[in-house]
Amino acid sequence: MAVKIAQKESVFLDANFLAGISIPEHPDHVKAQKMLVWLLVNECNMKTSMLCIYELLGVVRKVQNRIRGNRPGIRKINTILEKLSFSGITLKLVFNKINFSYKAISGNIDVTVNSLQSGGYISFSKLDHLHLPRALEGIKNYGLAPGDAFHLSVMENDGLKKIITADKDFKKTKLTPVSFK
Amino acid sequence: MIPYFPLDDANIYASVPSELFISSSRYSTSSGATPLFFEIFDQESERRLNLIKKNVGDQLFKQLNEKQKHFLSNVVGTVSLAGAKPHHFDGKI
Repeated sequence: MAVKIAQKESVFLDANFLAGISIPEHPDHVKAQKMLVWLLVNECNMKTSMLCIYELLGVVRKVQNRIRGNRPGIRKINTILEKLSFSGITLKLVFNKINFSYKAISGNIDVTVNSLQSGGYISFSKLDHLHLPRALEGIKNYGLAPGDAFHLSVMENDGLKKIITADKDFKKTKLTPVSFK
Repeated sequence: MIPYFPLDDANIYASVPSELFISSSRYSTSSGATPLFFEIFDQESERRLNLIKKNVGDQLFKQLNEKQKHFLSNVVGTVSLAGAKPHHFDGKI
């Protein structure tokens, strides 16, 4: 892990990093832990936003689907098989039972957010309508996805330069993405 | 099922049912009783810290202070997909 962060430096934590920390089944769970410990040991000032928590919910669903076998590749094969149906008979690859619901994980998310704030090591940046113009600039200038554009806007507003992320899109911006993978 | 309470919740004594209180010298309360919940929480917390230590390596782990370790044991692995139950504590004694 090549860490390009100075001691006591302020960094922004992206949703995929928070997901890596909090979801034991996440493929980068161990790497995210190593990075978090490194940031703690080096007394870095960590910030994130509620938008990242919103995105975290989406990642939970993605990881769940991955575990249950509901992958985009399989869905594509099923679409092809559906088109090849003969005499009303359609072959289909069946996923394991998917019983995901946001309602079921809402308690976990509540615990996670409370825990993240509990130690005083991670704080939540403010996000409101004033961030919209810069976010739209991020979409226009760098082709960022809406969520990433708002992260960029929040970071610029808070004077943060580095983001802990697995997202390569931030390389297009003036920010310094630091990969935890 | 017993709900999860963060360790530093100021209202924990009011929230934990009285039958869960046992005598112990480890934690002291005004009544001299100790929530059994704390004992179980400690075990779970220790189990998780051992896992984190194994994952990050001894060298990095030993640089953490106690407060940082406590924080880690609270935030790592909180969103378990297994049965979508909180990873902290499953309520079983």
